Amino acid sequence: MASEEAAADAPVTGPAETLEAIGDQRSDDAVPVVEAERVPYLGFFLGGDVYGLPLQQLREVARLTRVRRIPGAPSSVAGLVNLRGEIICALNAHAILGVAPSAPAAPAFFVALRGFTDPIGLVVDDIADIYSIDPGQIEPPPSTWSAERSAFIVGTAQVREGLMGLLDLQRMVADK
Amino acid sequence: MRLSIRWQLALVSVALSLLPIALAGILAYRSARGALEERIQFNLETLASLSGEKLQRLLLDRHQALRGWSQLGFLQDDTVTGDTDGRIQQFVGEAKRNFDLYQEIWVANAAGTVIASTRPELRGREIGDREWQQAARRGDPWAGLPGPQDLTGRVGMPLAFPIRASFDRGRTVGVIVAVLDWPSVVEILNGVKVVPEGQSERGFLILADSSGAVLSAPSFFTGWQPGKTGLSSLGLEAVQGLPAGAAAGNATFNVRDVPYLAGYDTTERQPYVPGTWRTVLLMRADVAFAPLRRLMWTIIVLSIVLATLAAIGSLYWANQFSRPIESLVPFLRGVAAGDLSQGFALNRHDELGMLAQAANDMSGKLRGLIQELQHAGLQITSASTQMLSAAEDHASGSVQQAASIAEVTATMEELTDTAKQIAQSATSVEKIADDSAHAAHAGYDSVNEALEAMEKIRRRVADISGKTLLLGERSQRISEVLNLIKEIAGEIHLLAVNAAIESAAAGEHGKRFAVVAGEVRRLAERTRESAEEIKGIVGEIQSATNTSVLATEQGVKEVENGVSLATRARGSLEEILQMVDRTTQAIRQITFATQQQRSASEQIVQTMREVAEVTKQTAAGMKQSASSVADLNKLADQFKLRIREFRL
Repeated sequence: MASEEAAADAPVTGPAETLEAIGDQRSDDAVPVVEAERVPYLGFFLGGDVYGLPLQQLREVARLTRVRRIPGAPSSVAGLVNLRGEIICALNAHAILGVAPSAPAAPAFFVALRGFTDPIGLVVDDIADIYSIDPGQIEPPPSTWSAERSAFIVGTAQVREGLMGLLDLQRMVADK
Repeated sequence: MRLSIRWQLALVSVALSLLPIALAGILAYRSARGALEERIQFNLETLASLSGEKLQRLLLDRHQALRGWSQLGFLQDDTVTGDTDGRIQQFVGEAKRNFDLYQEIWVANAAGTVIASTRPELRGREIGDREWQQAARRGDPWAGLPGPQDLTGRVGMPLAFPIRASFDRGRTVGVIVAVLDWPSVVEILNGVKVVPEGQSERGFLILADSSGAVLSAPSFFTGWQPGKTGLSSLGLEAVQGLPAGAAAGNATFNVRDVPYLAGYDTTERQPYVPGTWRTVLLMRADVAFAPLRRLMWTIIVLSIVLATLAAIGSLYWANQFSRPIESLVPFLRGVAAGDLSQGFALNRHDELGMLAQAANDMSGKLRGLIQELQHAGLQITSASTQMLSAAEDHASGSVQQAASIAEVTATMEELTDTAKQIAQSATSVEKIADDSAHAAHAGYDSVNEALEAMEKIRRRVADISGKTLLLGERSQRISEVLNLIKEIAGEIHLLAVNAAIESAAAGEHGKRFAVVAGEVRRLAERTRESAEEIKGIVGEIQSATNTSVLATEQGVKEVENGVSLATRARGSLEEILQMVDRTTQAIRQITFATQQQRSASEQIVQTMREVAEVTKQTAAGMKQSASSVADLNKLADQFKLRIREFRL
């Protein structure tokens, strides 16, 4: 139970740890409850492809109203976003993953992230749905994907909208 | 052709008046011409002699001048010394200036060298042994024939006189030569005029030497040279052939086919004249006899005037007799042909007047007789003709009348039959008209019903159109509401996602909440899908509504077309109805009239048959009387023709 608590309290840093935790759970519980093992993921669209992040790493989802650009910042930083009075640094997920940017006028969403000292978030095209993923279903990214793309992917899962890439949030942010 | 008495008289009187004056005129002309010719010949001869003497005097004058000059002392001396001080030269120049007719004057010494000349370029020129120099050496004066001079190139007559030494009178030291300008001399000679009475024309002088060479000739002869051209080459053979020895005389001859009168003379032999010369004075005959022409014209005009007067007088007198006789001829001819209508009046108291009176009396008596006969004949003829024509008219009239009556009867019968047929036809037409009126009424009712139905359809269609438009508007509202629903569902979805995130953050405690959030999210999703579906359906409804609106409008238009067509058809049917009514009325009138006509025609036919019988009897009587009158008329016509031959 302690590990479960730890998993709940401490920020889940990556899928590897998640897998570890899942593995622990499996080893701990003699009778694995399938429902309990499933991890909820938020699926969102980036340039037509579906990517996912576990809900535990997220703080909030909102419609992106206005992004204030930071002069001199690298292309991976989209700018600053005011979320109910709190200033959050918005990362440009397109630039980080090397996906073609969406049309400037298209509606966008902002995903605020949890577990970082500085408040940060990601700018995405659209919110798809919330998927409960069985860790056993997680597979490595296909070899056909480009190295740049695969660099931030810890695994893939088949969902309704297609093959969802599970992002390694720590690496993405660190890389920034 | 036979000449009338009038023209015979005229010809005789003209001939009698012309003969004596013509004879007298010819005699007078001949004697006048002879006298004139004789006088002119005499004048010409005298003037020819005078011309010769004038020339000789002129030459003698120049000869004596030369002699005087040759005896001048300084001339004699200076000729020997060769005119060293120029005195001779000065003298020669003055001599030429002071005396006319000189062409050249020069002085030569015995050796034949010119020492002084009016032409300075001749000075010192050797002129050789000339004829005049030989004469000078002999001590004789000399005269040359006029001709072109080799020293001057002009026509001139040279005269020379020897110069003798003062100290030795017998010796000739030189010669003085003067060349006379021959054209000037000839001009002086030609100044001679032949002037008889009324005659101002000039005679032409011809000068010739004894050999027949021409020295001077009138200006109308061209191309001759003095002393070189013969008389014959100028066409003057007759002049050359004049008697040579005769001192003076006259002749008549032709020069170049023109008759000339001529007088001539021969000059005497003189030392200062080279030989004897012949002077001939010519005058054209027509010029000489010009005065006679006036006499001739006077005679001719006088004879013409006399002949004309004689002709006019004789014609007038002859007319006094022949006109009355000529006018009596047509009168008598008319009487012979039976024309007694004319009278003949001649206001004369001589024999002709008595003749005219007798002819007039005869015509008057005959006219009275014939007039009485003609009057009677005319009366008979006109009476019988009238009778004949009346009888013929009656006969032909009654025949025509019978035929006409028959025709009328037949026609009336036909008319009666026709009237019957018309009555029958009219009855059947009336029935047909009634039928067509019924049919037109039925058609009119049907068209009215159709119109009402059309009107109903139009109202319904308009109603449908309005409702369809309303449906379209409502559908639009529905799709707007659906958009709102979709938006709300999106917001709910986003809220549900955030709730899920929150629940995930809550860990185990949030699980139940996560389930609720998931339900909410699914509901929102379904709501959005349903809204999308409804939107598709509403879109289909809208397109169907639009199509329906268009179709309805088309229907409204077609219904309106149908209404207007039906309205026109109703108008046409109304007109047809009116016409059918009028037709029916007209036919009823026709039927009634036809029946009346039929009964009247039948009565007429009966009457006409009776008339025809009477007419036949009348025609037979008229034919008999007409033939009797025709015989009478023939007799009257014969009598009338005979009488008509006279005209009164």
